[in-house]
Amino acid sequence: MKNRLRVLRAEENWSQAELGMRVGVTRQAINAIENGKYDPGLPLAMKIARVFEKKVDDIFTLEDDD
Amino acid sequence: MSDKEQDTGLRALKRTTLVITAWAASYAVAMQILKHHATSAWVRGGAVALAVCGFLLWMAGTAKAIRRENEFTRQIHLVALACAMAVSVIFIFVCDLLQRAGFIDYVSLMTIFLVMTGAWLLAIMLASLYYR
Repeated sequence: MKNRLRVLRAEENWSQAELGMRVGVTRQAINAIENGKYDPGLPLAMKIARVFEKKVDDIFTLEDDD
Repeated sequence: MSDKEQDTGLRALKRTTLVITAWAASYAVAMQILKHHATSAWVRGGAVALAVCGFLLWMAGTAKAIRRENEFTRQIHLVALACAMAVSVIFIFVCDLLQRAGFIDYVSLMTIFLVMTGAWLLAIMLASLYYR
């Protein structure tokens, strides 16, 4: 799964820790998501979408091999 | 770190310390009873029950602590448990074969338990490092 988390976070000028705090996870979790090591579950994906005021689809995109 | 997170972390640390202390105390008392007052089957049975209760308390406390974590941390614990399980099964399987082949003597259950626990802790560290 691809995501635009790093870009959106940069636009808001938030650190990984700050975004993590806003959605209730650690900085490591945000880093793992950004690097594609971890795909968030639906609740976390929705929380992330909410803080960026976007739809989940606008942030996370399924790839062919998913 | 916010005050709320710090409070939550401190509470979790207190709970963890409490259940580990309870487990260690129950185990130590049970061992003392089994060592020095091992005449009555009821007393020995009580000592075993005490140690098992202490262990169950620790397990429940640990499970509760993991359930309180966010989904990412739970994922790390899930991966770590799977790795620890795999290492334990391999260890038991290899030990069994080595025993049958006559290369090693009896491996105590406590050794297996320690290997499982060690593998679990190591797996938590490695999984955390992987996702860092």
